[in-house]
Amino acid sequence: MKKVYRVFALLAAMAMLGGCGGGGESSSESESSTASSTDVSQAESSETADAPLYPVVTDGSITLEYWMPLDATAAQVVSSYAENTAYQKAQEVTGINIEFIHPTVGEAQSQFNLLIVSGDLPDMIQYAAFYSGGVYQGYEDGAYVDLTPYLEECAPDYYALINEDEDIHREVYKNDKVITFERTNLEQDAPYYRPMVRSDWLEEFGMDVPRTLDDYEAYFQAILDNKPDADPAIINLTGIESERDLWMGAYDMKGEWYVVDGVVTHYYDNPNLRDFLTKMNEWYEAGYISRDFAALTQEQINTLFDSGQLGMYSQSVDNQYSRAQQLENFSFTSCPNPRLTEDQKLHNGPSNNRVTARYSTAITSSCENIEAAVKFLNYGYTDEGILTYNYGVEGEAWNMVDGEPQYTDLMLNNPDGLTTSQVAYIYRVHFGPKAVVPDTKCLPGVIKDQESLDFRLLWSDDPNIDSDYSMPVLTLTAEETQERADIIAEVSPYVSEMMMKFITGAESLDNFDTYLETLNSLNFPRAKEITQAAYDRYMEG
Amino acid sequence: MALPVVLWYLIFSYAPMPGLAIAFQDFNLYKGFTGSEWVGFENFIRFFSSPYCWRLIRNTFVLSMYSIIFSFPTPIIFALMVNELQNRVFKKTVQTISYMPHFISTVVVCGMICDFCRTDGLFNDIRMLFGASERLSLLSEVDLFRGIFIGSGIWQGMGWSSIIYLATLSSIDPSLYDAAYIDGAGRFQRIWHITLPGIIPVIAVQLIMRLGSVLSVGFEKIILLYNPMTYEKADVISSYIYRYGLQQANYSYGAAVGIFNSVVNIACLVIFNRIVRNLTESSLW
Repeated sequence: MKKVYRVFALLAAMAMLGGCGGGGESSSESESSTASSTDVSQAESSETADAPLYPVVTDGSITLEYWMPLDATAAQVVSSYAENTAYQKAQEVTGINIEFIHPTVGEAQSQFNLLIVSGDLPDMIQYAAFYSGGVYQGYEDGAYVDLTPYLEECAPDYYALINEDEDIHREVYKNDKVITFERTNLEQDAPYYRPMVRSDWLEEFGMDVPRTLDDYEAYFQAILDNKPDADPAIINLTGIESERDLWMGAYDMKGEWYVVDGVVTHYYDNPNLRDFLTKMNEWYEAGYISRDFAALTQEQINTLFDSGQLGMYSQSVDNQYSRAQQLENFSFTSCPNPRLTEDQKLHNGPSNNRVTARYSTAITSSCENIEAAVKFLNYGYTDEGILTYNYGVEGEAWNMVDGEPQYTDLMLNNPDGLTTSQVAYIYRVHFGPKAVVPDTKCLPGVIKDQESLDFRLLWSDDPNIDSDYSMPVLTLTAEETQERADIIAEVSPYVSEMMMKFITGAESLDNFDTYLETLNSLNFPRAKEITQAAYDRYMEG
Repeated sequence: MALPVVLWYLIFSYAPMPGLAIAFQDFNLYKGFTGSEWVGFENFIRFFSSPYCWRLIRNTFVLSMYSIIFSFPTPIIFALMVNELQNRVFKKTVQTISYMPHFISTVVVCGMICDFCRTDGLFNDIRMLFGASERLSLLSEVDLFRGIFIGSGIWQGMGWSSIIYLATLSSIDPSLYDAAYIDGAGRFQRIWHITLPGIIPVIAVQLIMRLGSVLSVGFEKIILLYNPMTYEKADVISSYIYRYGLQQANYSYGAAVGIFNSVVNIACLVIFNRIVRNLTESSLW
């Protein structure tokens, strides 16, 4: 008990320091909220003048419904986040009971749509951005409520966080309104997506980790010459954005909307795309890129790499690392971002946005006790809540050692045989709105031992790469959203199709100009105009 | 007896029909049917001015025609062949084996096809045996898509679809065969003059039904087999509705395209029914 007390003393001190920027009133509230959560009974008996934030009620009279997708990893172990001990702790501290509603794993978007159509909305919805047209559209339609009037009083910690930092402020406020509680990053995390190669093969060929495209070519050629059963590489440019970001970076592009010196740009109509596709076509013709690349699922690609039938692909670092733990005679390493020359400056680093808009939570117009819901969601931003959501419940998942949370065996060597990725979802809150401590400090799979941590951090100190091109989270009006979505819906499949054809040689790169003309006729310039206007507004606002 | 069937159609086919009106709306999920704005034919205009419109109609039509030309006759031929088998045990075994693929879920069948079509898959092994020059990723070859789609469809559906023909065949009076045999008719003559005429009414009805859905190609198998490389020939109206209407939640647009699809189908049904009635004197109505 004494030890626990020390921790809370520390937290209270932190709260005092942290609350300074948020204005006198809110800082005193956040302080008292932290103090009160230390000992419920004490808080009840004393402190009548400045009412503490938590517990909201003590008789369990408030129950709120919270719709959120159950992560596939968590679903392997539990059937509901009601079993998540961090959420249990949050309910205990706030005194609010949460009834979790989970859509079927993998069906989140379609079940979200059904939920909205049914009109029978739960009190809170995570993944609020599923709303067709975006979160702000949801507010304009009347499905979500404007939280701005409640924040200062009911969510002092969140209010302080989003007003302290100019970047966060700009990303969270939409037309001067706050609709959602956002997953807000306290600091930039190390990049998590990289090209993976076989380090044992590199050693066999007497090569270093590939850095330039020429290095990759040499490695691929060596595989063709020495490994008859293996394909050198799979690069799937129609898949996820991170993979495009990696490879297009060498040609000074990013795999989605991006900004170059204030000008909104896209790879779709970028002149560099021609050179890039020429290179990819060269690789395909040479047999470097597997002929099957378009017809494989991610699981199949993983298996090919793990079974020695593939020399290079791109994957999340943590995912590859944890898979490799179960393999024998297998060693691999991740590579720095591919580039044309060693000293090339890259600007395609992962977005440095402070908010991960995907996991935001909105409160719906069906909620009868908005204040209680706001207070509950604020928990993830209190000093205690930050620890509970990012690390788990103190004493169970971690203990404070030298001022830093130290995981117990429950998290690192789980006695029930759970993997580190599984415990990350059931003893702590991985996604969802909270102030986020970076993975490299609190994700059990990453900080398990020095090796895994080093592996995640590998190449993250690359001095030649920055995130200058990253696009902030823009707010488009309803009409803009609709117009742009309609254009992109036509353009994007056309681009995927043409890129595939250019790469495989089904379409000659001499026809690249025709491709650009078609983009114009599909009205792509208009989509750019809309985005530019939204970006300009964002920069002014 | 008819009640469950009538109820089924009322609940699942007729009751949802008024909902089709969202094709003329800018449907908003939250505001719902009553609160959404009416936009007239805007969604239809958008579809017909889309660069994919013609390609979708063409692909759907061609795939459907291929299936009528190739998949429709195979169960009939198969039924005739099975009918000629003398050994009872062998006949039952063949039939049972031919039904089996029907009971495998489409997802599994497509998973198998994907594996077989890979460069290191079964089909490539066979191609190499016959001296092909290089291994291809067959599902990425735009010209092979229709063949793979139709071929696997035949494998999966042939046995099951032959049941209705076999059932009809068993109702043909055996004395007709005996009489023909005595008159000196050979086996093919008997098939041509007795068996085929015996099942013509069933074939006619089946054909009209099939032609009536000439612009419907189920999307499940398509979306499990296609990729951007093969959109050119694989993307059909239903897969397009799935991608744009359902995945991207453009319900109005999806409904509009769906209505267009149904209207064409009904028109085909009426036209072909008339043609077949004139030709064979058997028809749906």
